[in-house]
Amino acid sequence: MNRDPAEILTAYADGELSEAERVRVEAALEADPALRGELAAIRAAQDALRTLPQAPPVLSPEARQRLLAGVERAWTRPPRRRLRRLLPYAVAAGVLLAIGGGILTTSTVHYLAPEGEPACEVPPVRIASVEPPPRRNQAAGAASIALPLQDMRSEQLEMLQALDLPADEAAREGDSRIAKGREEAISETESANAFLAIGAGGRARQSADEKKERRAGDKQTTVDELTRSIVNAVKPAPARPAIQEPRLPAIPAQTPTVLASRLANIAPAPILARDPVQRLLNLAENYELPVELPQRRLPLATALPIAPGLSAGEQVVMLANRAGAQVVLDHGRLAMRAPAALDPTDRLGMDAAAFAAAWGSPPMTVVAQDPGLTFALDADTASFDSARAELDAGRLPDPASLRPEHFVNAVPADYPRPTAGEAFALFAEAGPSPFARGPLAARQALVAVGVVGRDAAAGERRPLHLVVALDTSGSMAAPGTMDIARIALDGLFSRLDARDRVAVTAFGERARVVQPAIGGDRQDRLMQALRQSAQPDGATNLAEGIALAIQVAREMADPDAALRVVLVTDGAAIAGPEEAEARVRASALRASGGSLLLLGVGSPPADTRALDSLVAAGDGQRLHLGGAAEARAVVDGALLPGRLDVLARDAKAQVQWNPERVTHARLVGYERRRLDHGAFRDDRVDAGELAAATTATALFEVVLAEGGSGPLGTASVRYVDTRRGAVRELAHALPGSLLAAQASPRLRTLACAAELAEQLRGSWWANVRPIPFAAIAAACDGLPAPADTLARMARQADGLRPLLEVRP
Amino acid sequence: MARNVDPSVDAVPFPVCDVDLLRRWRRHAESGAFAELVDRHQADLLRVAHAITGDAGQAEDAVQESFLSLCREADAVLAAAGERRSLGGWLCAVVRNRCIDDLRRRHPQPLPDQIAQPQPAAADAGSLWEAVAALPPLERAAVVLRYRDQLDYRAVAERLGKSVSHVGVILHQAMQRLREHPRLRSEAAS
Repeated sequence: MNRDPAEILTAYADGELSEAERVRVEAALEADPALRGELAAIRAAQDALRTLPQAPPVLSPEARQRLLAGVERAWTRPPRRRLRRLLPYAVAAGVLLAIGGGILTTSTVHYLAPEGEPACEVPPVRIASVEPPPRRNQAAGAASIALPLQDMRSEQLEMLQALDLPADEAAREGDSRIAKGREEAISETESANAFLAIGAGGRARQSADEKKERRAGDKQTTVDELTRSIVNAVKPAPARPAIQEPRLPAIPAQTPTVLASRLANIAPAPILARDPVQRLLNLAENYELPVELPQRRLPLATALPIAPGLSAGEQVVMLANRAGAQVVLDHGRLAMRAPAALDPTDRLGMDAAAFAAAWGSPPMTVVAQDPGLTFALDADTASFDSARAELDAGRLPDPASLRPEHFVNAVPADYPRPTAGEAFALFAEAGPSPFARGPLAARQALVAVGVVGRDAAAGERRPLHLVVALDTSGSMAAPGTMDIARIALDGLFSRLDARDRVAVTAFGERARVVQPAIGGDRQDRLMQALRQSAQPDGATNLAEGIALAIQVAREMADPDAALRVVLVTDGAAIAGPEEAEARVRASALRASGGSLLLLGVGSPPADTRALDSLVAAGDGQRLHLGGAAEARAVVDGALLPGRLDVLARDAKAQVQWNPERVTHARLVGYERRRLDHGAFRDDRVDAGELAAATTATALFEVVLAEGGSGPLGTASVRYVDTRRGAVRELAHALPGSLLAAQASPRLRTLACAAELAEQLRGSWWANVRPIPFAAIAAACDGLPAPADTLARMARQADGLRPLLEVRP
Repeated sequence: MARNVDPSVDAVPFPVCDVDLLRRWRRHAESGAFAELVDRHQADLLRVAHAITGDAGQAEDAVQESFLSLCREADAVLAAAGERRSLGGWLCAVVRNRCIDDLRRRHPQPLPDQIAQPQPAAADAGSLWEAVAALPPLERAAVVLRYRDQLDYRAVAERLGKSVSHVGVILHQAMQRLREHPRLRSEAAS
């Protein structure tokens, strides 16, 4: 350091030196008496200065009074908000609608009750039922929005309702007309898939303000005028200039709970835009909130009308959630920002068991302590199929019934089938995750490990012995439900031949045999039996239905044939003691070497866990057929007779990670199918059943060691080969070279499927890495099937997301 | 879900920042909001003004003037506020510049030596202040804020709009000059 020694001494006396400097100065002082004298002189001077007269601590009362009087005089009416900033846009002023002689603009309305209390003043204000604020007209019309015509109409209609507020009698009279016009306008805009440009509103503001000024006092903007203006709206919107994005620095976050309770007290305000981001911006502007959005635009398709009865605060949070933003409070100001991704290896100080109990899924394992992950394989896609059906029906699937492994399995594996002799082949691929976020993003990778089963050639398959158990209870009478069942079974029967045998049972209040076992070539008789039995009636006696089917199946058991009970049900009545009883019955099937095939038809029950455990007890698989199209697809896929043969029982997988290469790992989903490591070679342990031609994929999320090398680990699969009656174990190394620099399209599709499931069920992993549904939909772009379905589901979910989720 | 919130957390205090206070005054002529701004900043501004001028009356004038400037320029200040929350820096800069301008305008008038009179305890403070008053304004302000008001270098730097290391240099120079002064030299000798 090149400073004057005396300067350093001053700084030393002032206690402003760094530790190292201080030590050096003290050593010098020790050595040099002259320096000590110098220091003493400096200190004496400093001490003397301490006695200098003090400044007055406050202004004298007269001065303060004078000042405040001056302040009062200095106040002038503020210019219109944003005017300055928007001047350049004023020329491009937006669409103005002629009404009679006057001009009306589409307009956001600032009605913040006591004239826009700032956001920080939240607590005492509760204005839900307060009369309109005194200076409303002045407040109203502070901004207007220029939107393309089709958007504007609904905008305007939404505005109508808000503009002449509850207090306005005229508006109340016109409510029904507004509502009618509104419906029309909204239906018109439904087809519009244009994007609403955020901030487009600003441009028209200046002129809008002028008009508003002229109209000040003319509060009775009648419904008639407004309705007419909608009819007259004909002008197209001008081209939009580039938009300036408001930007904010990162702000320390507060918990959503704190936030929500604060926000609950903000008065409701009408937010007039169909686009959620636009609404968010409008709302934020009303409350003087700084806004930062991770994505500036959302497609119109994601817009939903705001739920009535919500406080403005809840609306903010809801809209922010929709936009994939996080709402934070800082010094009493609200801010939106993209939620931060967390460290995925963080266990919050909990051990694995406590963590799994708290969050519903185990934490990432630390490979150095526990290198292995063992689990029962699962080839089903039922949870994916029923989630799709739910979303298509406009409902969010129950988070508890979502199984990411089923979503992963929905992505077909185009890997070579195993060669002669072997029932399964192992495959694996790895690459970077498209959704890696947070501090470890650069080290995160996805590893997909799976098995692909042999597809039995037509002549090669074993004979099939089927027992159909058809649910004929009252709930199956829902329109189309029985037809779906019929399409699927008809398709299945049509491909059977004389070697196969089929029996048909049905159960409503009582179980009955409709058609004793006959040859598979008697399709006519079988279909007739179905028609006879399929008269929906009464309650569901599922336990008895299963018991009867299994009794019939036992009689048909043949070591050279594949035995399956096909349970066709809508699953509506599987609950409570009924479920437990049914499960016990189903487990009897295992003893006879058979397995269950559960065909879920129609709209799935909200909670599919009962169905899943029933299927697990019956060593089976579950397919969900939401409609006729899916039924037909399944006939050409999973219901092909060759594929109904169970190739493997008790299929288990184990992955051992190499701690040199992988530091942390987690298996996506499979929460209910984890096994102890010892169970892998214990062949008494019940595990997954895999039918012919099925694939089961397990997706792992791993954190790679820095500078690590060598293989990623090894993957093993162990199962009972049903045709040989022998236990097989396949093992393969996962070489380091597996790790591609770029994830393959299939791996990316797998990532999208898994991410969609995690975000839909709001798991811990969705907390760690909050990916907006819109981002998942965008990531699906250009990927192989079923990426288009995944994107559609993500977009549907985006519109259905719960309003405000406060997680523990 | 939507209503599942804990009401008890509402007890957390909810501070209002300077910028919001100013905005409230600006938008709604809420004089209470401005008074709060005055109360928040007056002590610090008076200290700075007094450190430069050495005169309580001048300091009061400068502080009042700076608040009135804030009124006049509120729109510009709010527009430029960005992520800033506090107006302390802005006010301080106005006070500082105003005091220094005042001094220059009065130059070569000698500084009025009136601090001593109302304070009987400071019998010899007058001559001490003379020593301080002989310093250039910036050095004087730094010395007073550092040694009378016991602010650390960073706080002094903030109030003077200088860097911390620059404050070190200023203080060193000031101390060199002050020690030449007979009043302080005698102090050191004793």
